[in-house]
Amino acid sequence: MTPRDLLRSAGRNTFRRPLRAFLTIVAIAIGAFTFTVTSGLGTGINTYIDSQTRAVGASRTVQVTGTSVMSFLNERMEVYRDDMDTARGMDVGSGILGEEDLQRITSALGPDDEYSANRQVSALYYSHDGGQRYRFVYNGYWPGKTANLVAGDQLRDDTDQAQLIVPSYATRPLGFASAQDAVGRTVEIGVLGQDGEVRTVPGTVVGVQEKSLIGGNLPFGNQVLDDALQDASWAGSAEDDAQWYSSVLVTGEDPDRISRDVAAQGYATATAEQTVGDYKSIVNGILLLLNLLAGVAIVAAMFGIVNTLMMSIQERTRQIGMFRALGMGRRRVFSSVALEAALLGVIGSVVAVALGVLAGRLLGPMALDLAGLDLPGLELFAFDATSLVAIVLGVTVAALVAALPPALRAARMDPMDALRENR
Amino acid sequence: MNAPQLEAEDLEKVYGSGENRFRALKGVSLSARTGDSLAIVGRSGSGKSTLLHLLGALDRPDGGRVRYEGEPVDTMSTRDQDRMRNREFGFVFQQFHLEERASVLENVALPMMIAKVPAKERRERALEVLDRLGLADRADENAANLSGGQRQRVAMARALANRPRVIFADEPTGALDVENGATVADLLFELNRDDGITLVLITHSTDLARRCGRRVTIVDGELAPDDPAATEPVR
Ligand SMILES: Nc1ncnc2c1ncn2[C@@H]1O[C@H](COP(=O)(O)OP(=O)(O)O)[C@@H](O)[C@H]1O
Ligand SMILES: [Mg+2]
Repeated sequence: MTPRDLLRSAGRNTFRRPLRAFLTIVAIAIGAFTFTVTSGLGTGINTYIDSQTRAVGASRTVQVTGTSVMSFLNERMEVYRDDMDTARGMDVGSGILGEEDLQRITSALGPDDEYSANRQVSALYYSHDGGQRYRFVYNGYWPGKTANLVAGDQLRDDTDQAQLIVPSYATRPLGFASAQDAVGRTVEIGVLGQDGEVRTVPGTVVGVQEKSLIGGNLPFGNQVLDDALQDASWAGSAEDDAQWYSSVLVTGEDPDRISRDVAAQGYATATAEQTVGDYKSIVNGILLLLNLLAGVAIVAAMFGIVNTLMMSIQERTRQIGMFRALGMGRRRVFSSVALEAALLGVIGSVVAVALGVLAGRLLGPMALDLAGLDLPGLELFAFDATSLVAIVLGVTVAALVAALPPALRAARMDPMDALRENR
Repeated sequence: MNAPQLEAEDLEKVYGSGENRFRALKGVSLSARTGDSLAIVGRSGSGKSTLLHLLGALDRPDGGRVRYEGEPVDTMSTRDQDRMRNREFGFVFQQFHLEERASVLENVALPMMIAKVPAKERRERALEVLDRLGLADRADENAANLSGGQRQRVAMARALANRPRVIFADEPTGALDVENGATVADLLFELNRDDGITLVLITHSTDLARRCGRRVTIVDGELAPDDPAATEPVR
């Protein structure tokens, strides 16, 4: 029996009962499909995260904060120092840094390392033309950030105008007739100074952004606006007042050394790599869960294969016995049953991989659109050939493992099983 | 050349156990030389099929042994037994045991396929045999579409395809009408006569039995004592 003969007879046996074969293939395909989608998500998101690190170009920068951003795991009491009252309005989620801290941090730096300390902005509200004030939640300045606009233009940095983009849902409450109407108009942002005074900073609305599921729901501004907000936040602080910073950015040739040395001083540090790594471990955790689900589906499918093949060889007892009578060896009987399983596995996984890739290609951009995630370079699903081949191979191996009990049973049949049958 | 090709020595076969224990064969000895035609006759249930299965290495005896070309079958590996059935033996049964879903040609080619004969040669040889049995024009038809007589001829073609040296036939004409039965019987004797293929044939037909060179009668799992074949020297 040449391999081709084997394949042909395996094909014929597999589809003796088309519905049963189909259902088994569906079961296999569900598992393989989940693997494919999970793998596509993993590759897509991780590729994006990697490309972002590269694009940001911040690979040489280390962020230093008082405590870790993920410090909810080690929340603790912090001793209050009297001079901390000047740190009013600061987000202490990652702790605060004073001059003393700054000195200890810089003492750990090398001669060529550069650093900049960032102060907190304490914006309170915004309003238009003396109208109703709304809380202004400021998310910091994001260079180069673009928005999905329903009206107006993107922010510009080559200007001395303080510009901002507001979310579309905010235009009416603020007192504009429409999104279009808001463009070019001025809003006043109330900022709490160090002296307790609230000062207003004017900003020109240049664009209105679409509301969406994730992102796009907070106002944000250009660098000129950010500078103005910082100035207002620190207005009224006396020369000798303690200065407080939310973070220090250190740039140097060897970010790992900086990170290590500064961390040794008792501060939380994060290199771009570590930050990305954190994202990655969250992403990978979710992917692991999905893969686990896919694994459960495959195990279920394996039981399906065992069942299908057991029934199949039961029905074919006479045939197999006859093959044995005509001199077919036990090994060949075994491999023909195994081949049936492999066929089911290959068909199921190839179909599932194809559907998975298709679904990823079609639904990926659609999902991103729906979520309003207009992040250049982000493909929710990306597929690499190696993983797809690995999925097909892995699922086929699983099918072969499932074929073991029925194949052994078939191999143990002998000629008398055919001749006895019709007694 | 005098040594027997096929030899049975004190064969015993027991079916079931305890209450249901049944001795189907109680020590049967016989032998056949190359080119012999041997008829096994006897009442239904006497043990003819059981004997044939043991001779054809389709089943294992509970006592005694079978030798083929002087070699004890029971000490052969399963693989060698498979090989022997595939290359040396051809089987024709009352129920034809064809692959209903396969074509006539595929059915005939099956033993050659098992023997790893290349596809082209397989086809040629199968067509040759089918031609001899007058079925060449049905080669590509589904086996299920044929009449009983035609099916039995396909089964015979399959038994012949791998050029066996012994053909075991268990009531090959039992399920056929007179005309078809005669055709099949003629073919069997033709093979025996022209090709020197040894024929071991179970039959209820006295006519068929008479055409065989030798006859043995089985009575309740034993050779009939007055059977002249039983007194033939086993050696
Ligand atoms: N697998 C079996 N299990 C139990 N009894 C069997 C089995 N095969 C045959 N027998 C019994 O053995 C006896 C001989 O059977 P068999 O060789 O088929 O007879 P024959 O072919 O002469 O009609 C019969 O009584 C039959 O019932
Ligand atoms: Mg019988």
